[in-house]
Amino acid sequence: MSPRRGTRIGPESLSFVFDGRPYTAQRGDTLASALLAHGVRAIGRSVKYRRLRGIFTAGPEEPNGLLTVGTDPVVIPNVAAPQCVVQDGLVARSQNCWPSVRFDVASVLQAGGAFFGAGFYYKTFIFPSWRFWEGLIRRLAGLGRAPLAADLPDPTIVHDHTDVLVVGGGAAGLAAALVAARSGARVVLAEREPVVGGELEFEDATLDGRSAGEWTCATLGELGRLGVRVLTDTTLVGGSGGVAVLHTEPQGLAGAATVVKLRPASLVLATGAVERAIAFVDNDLPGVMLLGAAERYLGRYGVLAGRRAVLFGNHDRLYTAARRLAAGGMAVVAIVDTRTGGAVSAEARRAAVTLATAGTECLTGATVVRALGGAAVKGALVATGDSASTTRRIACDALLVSGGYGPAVHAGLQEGGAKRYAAELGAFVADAQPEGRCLAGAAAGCMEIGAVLADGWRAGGEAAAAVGRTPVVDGVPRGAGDGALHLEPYWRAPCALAEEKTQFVDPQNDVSVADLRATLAEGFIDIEHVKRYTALGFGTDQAKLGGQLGAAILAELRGETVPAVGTSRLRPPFHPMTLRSIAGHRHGASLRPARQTPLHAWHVAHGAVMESMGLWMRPRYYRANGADAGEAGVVEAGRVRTRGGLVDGSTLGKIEVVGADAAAFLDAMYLTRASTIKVGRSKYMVNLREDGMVLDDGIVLRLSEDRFLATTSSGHAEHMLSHFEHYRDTEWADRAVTLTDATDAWAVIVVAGPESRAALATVLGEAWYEPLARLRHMDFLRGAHEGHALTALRASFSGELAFELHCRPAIAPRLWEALVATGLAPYGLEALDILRIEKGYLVSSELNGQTTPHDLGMDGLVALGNPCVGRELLDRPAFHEPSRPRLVGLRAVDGKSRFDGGSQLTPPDQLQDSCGYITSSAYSPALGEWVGLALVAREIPLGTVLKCRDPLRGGDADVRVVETVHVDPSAARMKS
Amino acid sequence: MSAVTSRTTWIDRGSANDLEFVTFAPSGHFELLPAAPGGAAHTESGDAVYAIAPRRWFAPRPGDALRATFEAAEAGGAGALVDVTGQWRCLDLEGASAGSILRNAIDIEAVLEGREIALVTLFDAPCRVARRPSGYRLWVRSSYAAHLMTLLERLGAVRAP
Repeated sequence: MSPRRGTRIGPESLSFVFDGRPYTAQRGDTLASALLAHGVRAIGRSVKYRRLRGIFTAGPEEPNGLLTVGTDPVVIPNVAAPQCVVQDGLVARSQNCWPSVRFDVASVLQAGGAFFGAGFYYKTFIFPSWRFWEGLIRRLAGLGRAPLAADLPDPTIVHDHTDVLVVGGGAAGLAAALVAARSGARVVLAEREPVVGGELEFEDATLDGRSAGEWTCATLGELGRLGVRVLTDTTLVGGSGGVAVLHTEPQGLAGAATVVKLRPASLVLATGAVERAIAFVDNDLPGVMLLGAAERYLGRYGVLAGRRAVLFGNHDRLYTAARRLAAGGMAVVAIVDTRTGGAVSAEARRAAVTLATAGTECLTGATVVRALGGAAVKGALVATGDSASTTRRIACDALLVSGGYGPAVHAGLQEGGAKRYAAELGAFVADAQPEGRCLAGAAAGCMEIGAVLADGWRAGGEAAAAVGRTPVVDGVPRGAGDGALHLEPYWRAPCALAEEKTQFVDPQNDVSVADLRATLAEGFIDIEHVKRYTALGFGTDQAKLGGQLGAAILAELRGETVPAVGTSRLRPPFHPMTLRSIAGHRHGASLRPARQTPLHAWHVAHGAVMESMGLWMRPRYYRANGADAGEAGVVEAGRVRTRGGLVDGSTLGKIEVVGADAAAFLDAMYLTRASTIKVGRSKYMVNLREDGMVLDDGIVLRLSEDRFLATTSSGHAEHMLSHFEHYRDTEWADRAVTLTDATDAWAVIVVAGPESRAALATVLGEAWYEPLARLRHMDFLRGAHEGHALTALRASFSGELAFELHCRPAIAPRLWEALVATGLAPYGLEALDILRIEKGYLVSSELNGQTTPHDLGMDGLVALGNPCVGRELLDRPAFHEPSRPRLVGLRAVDGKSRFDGGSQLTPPDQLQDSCGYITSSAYSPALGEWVGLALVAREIPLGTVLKCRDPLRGGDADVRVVETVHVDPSAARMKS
Repeated sequence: MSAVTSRTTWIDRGSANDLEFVTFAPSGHFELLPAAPGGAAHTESGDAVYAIAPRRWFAPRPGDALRATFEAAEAGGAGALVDVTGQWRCLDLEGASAGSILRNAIDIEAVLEGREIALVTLFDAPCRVARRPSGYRLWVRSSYAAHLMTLLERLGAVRAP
């Protein structure tokens, strides 16, 4: 076989494998063109009825030719065969069939096709239960199979800016880019195909006196000289907030993709138009193809879609296409034109005469009512005249259909773009656009080359003007090519009701006219409801192919006009993208940042099981202390009370508040006053939201008269800084107070337990010994260690004698190691929580945004009367009703039963009436029993026995309401 | 792995004695320093001071003279000096692909246009970025440094010995 000739292929031979069989291709072939060249008609099965399907289009709107490419484990499903350029050794396989396309076991479903219409799933698989059927349905349903190993390379992400982005490199896009660049704008031109040109690639057009190919080459050269960046293989897949997301997949194959997030000042959408089909019986047989696709396969790849073709459509382009296809070697046996003679233009009639001399029969006022054949098209059943009953068979192996062209308005309908129905096209076109965005060329409804060029020129000029350039006026390209369409809308051929089930509207989703009719009968009238009930426009189609046709047929069935029906929402991405492309670098361990403390490496090296808390990674427990968190936590907490321990508190938020008005500012931010704290002292303080709910708590240190360090809980540092900054920048804008986040500037090592003071003295040396001995609870010392600043704060969240060492990150690991060397062992979050619960300190779930200071037993703090943010609303009567929660302690009545956080609490005799819930609980090594904290209605007095209800975990228990402090209520240990 | 056209390295400069100086509103302009965020002043002794926000300046590794200047300004009531040593980890990203690596996260050249420093989020990590002759200097929040380093390596940058 001699090499084919086309605009996109070279003579070099490549080999690839499809469904286990070796094939050859020429360099530049797509999977679709190569398989068509080998006469492969059936390329897959349909998703629901398992009908044999062949290549239908030559673009991303392909509904049938979706293949799985690659070899396990790196496989990519749903690759559009018309887009995937063959590489030597490529392996592809068909989808929705087993064991092969020809002999698919599930094709028996075709026999039951009459029963599998829209809504079948919803009504059938509820008996005995959905779960019973789910496994089977999931195996049969869906497009392709997701790869088991996510091993695609990371995409390259590029963030960029430009003056003008032109999307679409056809005639309109080239003209727009040319004028914008000549006007001095920075221009990016994105074209989804590997080459620019669009329809010019095969249309017999003359532009500025040159052939389409010559003009395209010359224009491309000038764009290069003007500095225009031309991105081929690049599709505008979506965008928002002024960012256009361009997706580049060289060779049309997911892999080394590039995602360009471009911020253009002005956007021209010259995205062309998508040819649409006509519904007739068995219009999905392999061999039925869009007319424009057949022209593309011939022009680009030298492939004939068939030897003997029947062309079927409703506009003048049938005749020019027939001439080109015939010139390429295809026998066009008939043109079936649905228009009556009067609607056919004089030019088309002249063309028909010429074609007839070459043996093409031109039938007007006729329609194809059925495609004939089994595994592929063998003929067309054509009805002539007004009645569908007068039919004749025309033998052919390709039935090329064109129902007109729908402007590709997807991008033009996002973010505020409107649409209108253009009756002359029988299609929706984009209407009013947001500032800085316009459509041009076929996307704007222009279908003749001259108008397309002029419209592109206009759009490019406007885009240049929008970025402050003076548009070049002269030089509008002149063009002549295919004439006007003279289209007469035609949506489906007549057929009997029973045959409507194979009049396919959306072949990708197996949606037929019968499905639309059934859906309307069910009462789903709106196009959006129809979409969801039938799957019309689902998947990768997103109404590209089936949308306009579906809307028109719905209009017919509803007895309304097409604009009254409208189209469903067109959703991005415009073409399929891998999740890896969307995720970018955010996958695996980099899904989100893992913030590490200066001691992170030590923890990991010493067997810590790390847990993510917000973005922070913290040790939950150390493996040496137990097989799991519960066991290790008890060991670690018990050791803190008997000897002591170390915990990494570096994640605490730290905000340095400085200025003459710093104290007054903090007074306004906290429930109690900061201005009463003496220098060298600290205080436990609580913030309120504006509505009176507790926002956060922490310790505030007064470093000097006008300098404070406010600590926040670990997860709240950014939020608290933002909260403070809001007030500093509004009500306190003219006051002397500054805020600086110092969270990462200080590592915090908490040393707790009876031996903590001695350990510290050992490590810090004699200079610290006496001061540490004199340090009172909530006092702090500032000094230096190894030449670095160091603060030792005596504060405790464990109920033990404890110190917080605030040190610079540089010395934290050495300091920690030295403390470990004294015999103190580290403990993790599990032990920390146990210690806090034993002592009745808030853990975290008590600060849930729904609790007031009163609820949490802080009445004494409220009574101090500091007029802080949120204070006024604490007096609302609703906050003082008996049903409001109150923080209490819990113990098991039998002294041994376990109860868990999250469990509901009810009166023992009213098990359905919750009166509170457990916020946190733990096994207390100090007491040898389970202890907990709970929020229960205030009217329930201490001593009350409640039922802890935990039906999901099977942990019901009788518990008694007690004081919150379970261990050392006199605080003697802490103040020792 | 993204294609890297030539060897791009990142160098960990560690954390150092960094300062932030903030003047009090509304009068707060410290006239020795650039007022507009993004601006920088370079002292004769080689120190750089960056305006990172209205009335806020960042002085990485300041020399004694600059430190003394700030301390005097603070003592005079002009503003507050905060020692943020350890808050930021300094990395230099150098090489032909430095820009394209950062463009995975942001259009870095557009951000730095007309600025000497920009506060940005790179790969979800809060950073301050300044140009260097052969690339960029990044100050990343210390707790995010490991995450950022991992990303830079994944994108093709090599850690300099």
